[in-house]
Amino acid sequence: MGNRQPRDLFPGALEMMILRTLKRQPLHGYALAQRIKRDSDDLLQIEEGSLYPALQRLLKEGCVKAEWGVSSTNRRVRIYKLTPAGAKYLERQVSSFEQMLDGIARVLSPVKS
Amino acid sequence: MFDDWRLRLRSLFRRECVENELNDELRFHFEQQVEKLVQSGLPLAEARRQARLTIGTADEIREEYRDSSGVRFLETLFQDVRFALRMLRKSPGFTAVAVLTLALGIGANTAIFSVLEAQLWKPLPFPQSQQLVAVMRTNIKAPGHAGLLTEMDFTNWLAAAKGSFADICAFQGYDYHNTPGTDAAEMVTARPVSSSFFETLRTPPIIGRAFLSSEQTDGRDHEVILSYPYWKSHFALDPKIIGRTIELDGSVYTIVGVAPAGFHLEIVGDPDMYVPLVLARKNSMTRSGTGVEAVARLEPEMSFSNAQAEMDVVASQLRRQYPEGDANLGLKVEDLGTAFEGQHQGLFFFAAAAALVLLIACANVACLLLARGLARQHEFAVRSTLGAKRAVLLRQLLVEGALLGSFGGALGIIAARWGASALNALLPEDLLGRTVAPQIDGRVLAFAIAISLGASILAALAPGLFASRVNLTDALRHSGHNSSAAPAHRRLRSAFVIAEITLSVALLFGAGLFLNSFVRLMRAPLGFNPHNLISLGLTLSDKRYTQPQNLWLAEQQMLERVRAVPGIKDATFASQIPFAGGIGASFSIVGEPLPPRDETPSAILSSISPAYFQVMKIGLLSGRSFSVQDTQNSPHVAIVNENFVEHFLPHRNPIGTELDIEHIGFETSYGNARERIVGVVQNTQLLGANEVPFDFIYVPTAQVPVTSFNDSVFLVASTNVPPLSVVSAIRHEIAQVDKGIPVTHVATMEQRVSDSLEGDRGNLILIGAFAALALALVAVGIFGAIAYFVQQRTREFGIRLALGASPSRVLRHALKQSAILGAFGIVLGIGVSLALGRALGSALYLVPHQHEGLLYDVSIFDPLTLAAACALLAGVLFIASYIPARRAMKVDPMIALRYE
Repeated sequence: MGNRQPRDLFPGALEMMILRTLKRQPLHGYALAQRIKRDSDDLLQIEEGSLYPALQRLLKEGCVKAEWGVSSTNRRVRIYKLTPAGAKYLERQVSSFEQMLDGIARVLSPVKS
Repeated sequence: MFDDWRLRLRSLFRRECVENELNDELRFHFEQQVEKLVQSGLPLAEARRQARLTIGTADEIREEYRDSSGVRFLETLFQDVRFALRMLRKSPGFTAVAVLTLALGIGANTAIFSVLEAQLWKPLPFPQSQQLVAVMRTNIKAPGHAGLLTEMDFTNWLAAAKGSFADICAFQGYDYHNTPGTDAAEMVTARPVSSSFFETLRTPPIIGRAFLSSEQTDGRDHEVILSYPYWKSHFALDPKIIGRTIELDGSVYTIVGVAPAGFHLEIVGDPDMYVPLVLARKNSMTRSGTGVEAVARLEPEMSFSNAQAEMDVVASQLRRQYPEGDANLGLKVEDLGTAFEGQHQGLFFFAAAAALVLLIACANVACLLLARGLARQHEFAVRSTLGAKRAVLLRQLLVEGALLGSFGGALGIIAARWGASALNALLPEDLLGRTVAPQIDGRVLAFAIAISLGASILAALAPGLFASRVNLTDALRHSGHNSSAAPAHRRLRSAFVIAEITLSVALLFGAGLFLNSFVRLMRAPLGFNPHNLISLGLTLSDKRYTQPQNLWLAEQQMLERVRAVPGIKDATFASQIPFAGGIGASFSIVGEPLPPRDETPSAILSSISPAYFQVMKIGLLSGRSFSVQDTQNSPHVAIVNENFVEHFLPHRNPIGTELDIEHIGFETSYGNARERIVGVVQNTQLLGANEVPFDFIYVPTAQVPVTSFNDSVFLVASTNVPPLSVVSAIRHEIAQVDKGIPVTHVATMEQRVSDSLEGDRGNLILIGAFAALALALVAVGIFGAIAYFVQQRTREFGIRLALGASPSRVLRHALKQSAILGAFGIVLGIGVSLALGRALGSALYLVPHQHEGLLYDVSIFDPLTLAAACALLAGVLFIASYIPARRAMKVDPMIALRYE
């Protein structure tokens, strides 16, 4: 997914969070950013500078699709939805992410105890 | 994938729209953020500032956004194309020359390729044509030589090989018949085909029906199926034709069907009509019946190799069953698409010649681009200082090259459209196995596009690499001229010019060889004198001529009447004449051990009137000619040609030797008569000058009727007036004897000889055209090189002239440059030509006893031709460089010194 310097945790994390958030409900870009921030208890700041390009990449790969809709303030906004392909991709990413976490935890735990 | 591209294309072509959408989205985000901050208590201005900080500048996002939507590549390509178009438009002269040069090369190659494609890869025009195979008889002792099946073969393995073949059919050579026409009798051609013929090809008659198997027996075979063209020309496509009758040779035939339009199988040809093949005639039950050709349709899952394996089993059974005649019998299954193809080696040769032309064109365009690159050095230097990377400059140059290639390709394809049909008409039949019109179809188009891009990249790469390597300080200091890059530049350019000259030498030499060969062909000894001879084809197929007495009488009457025509010296009948093809017959020499059946020698057999040798001016070498004393009741006699004696009777006196001639016509009418050789005549060519002489046996018409082998015979008359002027008189005299005899194939013998050279003439025109193209391109190339050389050195020449050098000395200096390039190119070219000659050598020549080949009687290393080619090239190079070099002489020192 490009080799640009990630501005989030690790490559692919932002995409994973976007997909996970969109899985619950379709959202427009601003709401998406707010939701991620809120769900992470403000631990994660989503930079808009990386949000929109990430959305664009996901669009290109067919993981999300965009539709024009109307916001709560009655403005024309682009609403992003998860596609079946995106859901599948998310599943794969989450399971490999959990594996990774698991691995890291195992490596780290003996040092802790 | 599709979505992805739609998105990319959308972002490319509707960029403004997409950017507006992004702007909207970002503005919405920004306003929401501001609102939120205001609600949390910040003043509006501060809220805006913070919001802007978190979101970042819109441009930054936009840039990222565009990058990630993958349009960057397409977009820059678009930019490059737009820029390149602008640059090309700025120098229309350069663009026109480069595009035309490439168009010539691409057009020539595309045309050749479309002919090749039609020949090699077009499927046969029948449903599931890939299942069609030809089945042939081979000799297991002499593999590679395939021949006709006997009728027995066909009936025998038709039963045995049901497993491999879904259907199988057979057919025989043309029959000639006469039919009463509107004015005079007409000749029609008919192919005897088995009842399964149309079914095997899965192409039933468009109206009516195919033949029934019951119609394959003698006496019940009076049915015909018309070809579409004949139906059109003689019955105006009348749909109520079925059941009507047509008279052939005085017998009534019923029309039972019409073959569809476009029905064409190469080995069947285009007969006027089809008649049932009668397999159960008296002779066909012997192993030596008349030959048939067979085509089969494989079972859908059957592969060629399986079918071949089954045929091998059948063949081994037949070998055991008929150990006398068929000891060496083999059966061969061949893909019908390729089984009867022409000699494509020749086509590939011309394709290679066309490829050389394209290479020369590439070198030429490369030279042009080099010069242009140098002229644009300043531009590149400026761009480079402004931050353009070398890759960007190179890409730009390659895009320019590709654009030139695209324009050249488009023009080339247009040129190839008519070039291909011209080529198809020009190329000799033996190079074109199939009569398929070449088309610019998808494959040809793909080829044209591929070579266009390939050629333009090839031409643009070296100049591009060169021009994109910018030496900033140099380039900016000197405004493009006399920069330090010049020597390397000149070397590269010289290399291209030398390469062009080298390739041109090869092409010119090739064309020279063809010219030389053609001249020799025209002078080749024919064995007879074609001057003042007129020949006419007569179809004596009427029932009454099956009686030898009637035939003999009609023959004598016609000869007598024709001889009496003013202007005619003498006349003769012959069953076959030179340059009109011939039929062979097997024979054995009495007193010599009988060879196995497969190895029985054969010779061309011709039944002639006594006057034949005199009329044709064929020299009698020993013995006597035929005379009126050779009658049906006198001992049977034969005359053979020199070649026959050399091959079969090398150590004995041919005169008095007896021959057993085996031919179907013989056996039926005359039994196995023995012919005693009474004379030996000169060799004559049978098919064309470009052949190894055949073995000939001549017999008198009095003893072997002239129609024994073929109902279509020839009447040849010698005249002392222009031969074509007596044709109507001859026609009149023949009609006086029998109105029902169709007269066809009227031609002077000189015309026949000339027609036989048509293929070679076509070859010569084609290779000549390629060589001329090469010469023109190389002339342009050297002209450009010298003009550039002179221009680059205007200052130097000015100084020399100012210092007192004579103008002619300056001219010599400029010409020396061209001479060096020319000398290098020609020496290399000679080497390349000779190496090519070694590699191609045998492929270009007449294969002994196969009567095919491209060159005649000229060595691939012919020094005279090579010298002539080099001299011609040197001459053209001199002229092409003299014109620009003269400019060097006329340089005005004052202007030249100011020139910068």
